[in-house]
Amino acid sequence: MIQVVDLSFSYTRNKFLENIGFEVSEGEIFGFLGPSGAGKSTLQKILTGLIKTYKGQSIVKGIESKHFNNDFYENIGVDFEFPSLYEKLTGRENLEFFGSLYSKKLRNIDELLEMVGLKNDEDKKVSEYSKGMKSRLNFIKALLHNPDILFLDEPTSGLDPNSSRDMKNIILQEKKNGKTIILTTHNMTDAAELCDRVAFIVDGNIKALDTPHNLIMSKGASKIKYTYLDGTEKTGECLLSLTSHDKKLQELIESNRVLSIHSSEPTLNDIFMEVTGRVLQ
Amino acid sequence: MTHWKYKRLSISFMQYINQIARDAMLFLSCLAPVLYGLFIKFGIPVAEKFLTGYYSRKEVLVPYFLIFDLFLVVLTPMMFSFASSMVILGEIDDGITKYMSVTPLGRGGYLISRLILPLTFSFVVSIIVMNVFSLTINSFEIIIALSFLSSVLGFMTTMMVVSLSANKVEGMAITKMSGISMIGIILPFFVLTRIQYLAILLPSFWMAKFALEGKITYLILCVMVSAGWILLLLRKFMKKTM
Ligand SMILES: Nc1ncnc2c1ncn2[C@@H]1O[C@H](COP(=O)(O)OP(=O)(O)OP(=O)(O)O)[C@@H](O)[C@H]1O
Ligand SMILES: [Mg+2]
Repeated sequence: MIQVVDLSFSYTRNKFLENIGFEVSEGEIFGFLGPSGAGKSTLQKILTGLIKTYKGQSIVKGIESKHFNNDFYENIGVDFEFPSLYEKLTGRENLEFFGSLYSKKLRNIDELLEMVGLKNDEDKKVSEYSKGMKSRLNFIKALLHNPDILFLDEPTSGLDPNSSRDMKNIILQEKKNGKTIILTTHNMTDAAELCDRVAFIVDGNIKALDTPHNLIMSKGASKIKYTYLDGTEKTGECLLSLTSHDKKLQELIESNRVLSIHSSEPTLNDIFMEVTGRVLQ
Repeated sequence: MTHWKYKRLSISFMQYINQIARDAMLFLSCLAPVLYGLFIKFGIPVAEKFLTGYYSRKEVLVPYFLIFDLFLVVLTPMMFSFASSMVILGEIDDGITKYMSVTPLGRGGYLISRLILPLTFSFVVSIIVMNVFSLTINSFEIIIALSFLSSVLGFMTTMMVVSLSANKVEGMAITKMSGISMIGIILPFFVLTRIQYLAILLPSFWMAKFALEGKITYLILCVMVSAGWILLLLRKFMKKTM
């Protein structure tokens, strides 16, 4: 669906996006993860044909991004990181206007509004919407014309936990409907839950690219932490795969002196820090 | 698919018209040429009658009737240019301009519906307004030529306002300043020495020269000077709408 080969781009003379390469297949959710300023949104702007002055290849559905023609956008849905809505129009009027630019049959506007809990606010002006409401409206605006590919730039940022949950369910449902989804986020938990594969982006480079599961497995190992009394309370730690080598732990188990025992898997967050030496958010 | 291309352009243009219609200030500015037209068509002759009687002279305002006409011909595109600038600045604020690039309308379609179509529209309105209200110009060719030049001036003003201002408030300030560039219209009437040529960079100056003397050279100069300004502003403008 998408092939990116040796892509580079910069807003200035200094190097920025360098040597970017990846493929996304049909029906996949592909995530860009990285700290602020890493170049995630810039990469999306290249993929959606907004920035045309890149070097290398960025091919979407067989067409080079800089050569997209207008009809191509009938099948592309974009949710920018900032809302792009007429503030003076109501939620519904916005959807109706943007929908009218497509020659395709549109999805049912009432259902879409219902899906993100905006049905009751459809006749309010967008200027009276809260930040989260704008994000939700902006999101369904991208679904309106039922595109094959969705580009979502931080769709869950600024949403309360409930709305965020709803949004993630909708994204997963869209994937079930066969859509290819490119997603940007700072949020590791969302990425691990939603994405089939993620690319870690830092300072304009891809530092790692794999399924969240593989990234976690390849880099980090699960650990066991236990506490016991030995005069005072003490803590011990060992790798889950090497429990039999931990003599202290065996001794404690045999004498029933373990106070607590926990196993912990590394999160995508830990892996991100390990691979990139940077913290997210 | 070509049929859809035109349909999208007309949808986008209607959205532009709707925004003007919803905004009292913009709506009234687009009516201004008609109000001014009524004023010069009916008010000026009455004033002239009064003034000639008062000063017991044969004519007082008559030598300047062409100035009133020139202001009439630039007023229509100026007002549409003002409306366009305000609509475009509002849309840049709302992130619409960027978003249009990833819809089937596209950046090109958006710019056509915000710059070219309004100007074509104001060109036609300008011709009608001139035919109805003009005091001195009877030649249809001259009306068309002047309406065309004033549309080019309007285009230049829109580019100037949108490229140089960060928001609507600044946009209004720059629109007022761009009004000063219309001083070129009166220079050839009052500054009869060579000093008038200090204004060669003002397209409005060449338009007035053309109206006064009817030389095609002046018409071409007016277009060329405007085109120069437009090209100078174009890069900045394009960056803004990205
Ligand atoms: N239009 C622009 N002109 C010049 N520089 C820009 C422009 N847009 C972004 N940049 C710069 O490019 C860099 C990357 O920005 P980008 O928006 O791609 O980051 P991001 O990874 O999406 O960050 P965030 O997580 O904060 O959204 C930043 O240093 C930013 O200042
Ligand atoms: Mg971003």
